[in-house]
Amino acid sequence: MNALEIKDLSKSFRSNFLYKKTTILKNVNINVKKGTIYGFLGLNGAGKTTTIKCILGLIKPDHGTIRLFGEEAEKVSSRASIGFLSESPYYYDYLNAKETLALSGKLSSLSNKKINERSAKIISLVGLEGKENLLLKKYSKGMLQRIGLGQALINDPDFIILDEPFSGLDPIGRKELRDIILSLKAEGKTVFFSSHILQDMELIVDDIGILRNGKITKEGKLKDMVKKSIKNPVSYSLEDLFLKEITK
Amino acid sequence: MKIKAIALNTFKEAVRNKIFYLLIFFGIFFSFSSKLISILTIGDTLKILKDIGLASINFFSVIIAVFTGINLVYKEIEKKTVYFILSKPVERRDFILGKFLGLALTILVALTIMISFFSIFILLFSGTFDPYILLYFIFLFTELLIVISISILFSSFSTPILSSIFTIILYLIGHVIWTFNEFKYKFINPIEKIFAYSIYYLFPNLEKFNIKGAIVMNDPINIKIIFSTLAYGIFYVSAILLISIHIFKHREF
Amino acid sequence: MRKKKYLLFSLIFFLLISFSQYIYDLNKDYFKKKNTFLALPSGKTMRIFSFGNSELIADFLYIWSIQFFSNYNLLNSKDFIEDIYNLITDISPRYKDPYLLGSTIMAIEMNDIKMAVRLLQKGSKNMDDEWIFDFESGYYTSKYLKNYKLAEKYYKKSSKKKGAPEFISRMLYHSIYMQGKLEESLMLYQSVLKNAKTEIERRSANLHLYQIKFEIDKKKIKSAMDIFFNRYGFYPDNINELVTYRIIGEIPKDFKGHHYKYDKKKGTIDPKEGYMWKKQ
Ligand SMILES: Nc1ncnc2c1ncn2[C@@H]1O[C@H](COP(=O)(O)OP(=O)(O)OP(=O)(O)O)[C@@H](O)[C@H]1O
Ligand SMILES: [Mg+2]
Repeated sequence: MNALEIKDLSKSFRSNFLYKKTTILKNVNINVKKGTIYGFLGLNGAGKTTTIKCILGLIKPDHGTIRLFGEEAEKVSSRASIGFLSESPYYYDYLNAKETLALSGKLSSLSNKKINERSAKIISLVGLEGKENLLLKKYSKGMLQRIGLGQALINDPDFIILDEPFSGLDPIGRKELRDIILSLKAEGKTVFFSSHILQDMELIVDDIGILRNGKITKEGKLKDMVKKSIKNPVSYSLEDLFLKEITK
Repeated sequence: MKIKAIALNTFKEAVRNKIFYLLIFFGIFFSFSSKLISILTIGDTLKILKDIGLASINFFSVIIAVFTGINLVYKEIEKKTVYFILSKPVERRDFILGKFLGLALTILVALTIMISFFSIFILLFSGTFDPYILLYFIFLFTELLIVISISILFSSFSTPILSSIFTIILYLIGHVIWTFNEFKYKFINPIEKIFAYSIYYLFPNLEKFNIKGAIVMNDPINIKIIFSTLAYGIFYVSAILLISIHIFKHREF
Repeated sequence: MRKKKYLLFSLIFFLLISFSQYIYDLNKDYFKKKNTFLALPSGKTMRIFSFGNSELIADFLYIWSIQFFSNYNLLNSKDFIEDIYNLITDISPRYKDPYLLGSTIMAIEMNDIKMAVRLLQKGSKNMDDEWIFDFESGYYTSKYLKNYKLAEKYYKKSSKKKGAPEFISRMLYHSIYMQGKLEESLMLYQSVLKNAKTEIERRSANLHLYQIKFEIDKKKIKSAMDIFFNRYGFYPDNINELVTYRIIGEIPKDFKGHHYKYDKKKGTIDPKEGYMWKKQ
């Protein structure tokens, strides 16, 4: 059983009653194996966030099925073992870091004891020690990104969805995030993330999927793909692969 | 449990906003200012004190209900904090119920503060506590629950400005719709009659919650009227919340 | 169907809403305080469009009216007084003060007793458990209009209401007395004397009875004297001659059992005691 299975996912939007629907996703198929790190690529507006919203049940697919550990994503219970970091920080700015983690934990049905235990660990994991009592409205963008990651991990999820997690982080922060993702993998968790920062992605992913014109045009092990298209073995990278795929 | 977390968070948001305190302050301030106005009258000053006090509490609590109701629900969608909630294992139904209970708690706290100040004020002035004020409190709170549920309904599919306008218009209609009873005998055509009656039964009938007149005049209130009014409030809130849940459930973010 | 379950439930609640509204309407008397001869429809309109704050509007109008009518620089301020107090009392029909203050201004400042009584009677109609409006009406009609018959009607109405003070019935008896119904008022004051609880009440009843009996006797003696005078062309030297000549059976004595003083020149009697109730 895969951690995530998307079959024939289609989604179209009507931005106005008068306009025709525009199709964003056309029969998207994605398979994420348990215990791997999956990189989700695509240009701006390709539909990555839309796909993630479908997984989370924030929007309803036109057709197609989405399964998380075998359970349909429509069901609320499928979200119990998920952690999600959105592409922009959508948190309550009148709360502080501790309260945000507590709220997040309560919404995942954690006990108060468990919340206290986890939040102390997570605050040091995401590097917000000493800032936990500051209101979020006083946070910088990178700090918000960190608390976002923290609230996604509070319930010790098995499947972690990160939408552009590297944006807004400084080089040290990016290194720390890579280490966190790798340590999650080491714990046996599955990570699914989108990013435009290919250098970071290249260092950690096992599998990639490239979304173009509403379809997955390439999916598979990064190592195989980079090897297969070797012409200039010295400098060939994920970036070259991606650019070639997109401009084809 | 999740509903409670959402409700408490909503309450937190309301009470961490300075406007909340400002409105409560104005409510108290205006009910105290009735003392000044009562100097200008001749005769029963207690009536003037009660009228102005109850009217200002009424006015400011309605403002708090309409604006916190719309603001706090719409903000979730506008600022996309709803992603934060709904990406957790939380039913959309629980989101609406949590929001409603949080707003209800907010209103309850605001009302309790204003009514307590007012009662102490009247107690100091007249030496007696009027138990009807307690009944008024319950009635006003029930009415405000209807107002909150309506504002949740509108902000579950509309923009905040439109929602405020709709809510206020419904509030005003709710206070004049009772006059239907005075001319309902004029409808003879059955189609007109069905239409008029369904509007009468569909729109919120809020004037029945207004017992200010009876309080000031110490008129007795029929017990059947009290119970049918409270039942009406509970049923209305339930109906509106169910519609809001339905809309919210089928909504995309 | 499952998709619409919340809507279906809300429909059930709308039925319950209608039902509770129906029960409410059955128990609510929407026509209770309705005035059939509303002078100003705007009073009702204002009540509707105050959105539940009609009492407040009545207060402000009342306060404003006090300032308005006590401003003596306005020459024609009194032209609208009746309309304004009608408006206030239409908006808040059970608010006592505007009736009393309005009628006081009308009666004392404008000497329009009929207008004052009209306003008071409106109050009496809207607050039919309140005695003061009829009392005031009676007071104004007897004091200023000297219409004791009308005053009697108002005092009677007032004295029958709950909480009406005792003195109103004495005002009522006085208005009966002032109409010249001497036998009736003699009986009424006798009952007052019988039911009197305090010394002051007793003394006051005694004084009234003394006065009333004197007036009755005076009339009696006067008619007997007229007969005597017609017969003999002069008044008798001694009042007892009326008995001697068999014009009356007995010379009446005053309420305390004393003889009256007899004035031979005029042929009239006078009370021994100095006190007299002045007829206005
Ligand atoms: N609610 C919506 N209504 C109409 N169009 C939408 C809606 N949401 C997304 N779209 C459209 O769908 C397309 C995909 O958007 P999406 O946010 O999924 O892109 P993305 O791959 O995440 O891009 P980025 O890399 O910039 O984050 C865009 O063209 C966008 O305009
Ligand atoms: Mg995106």
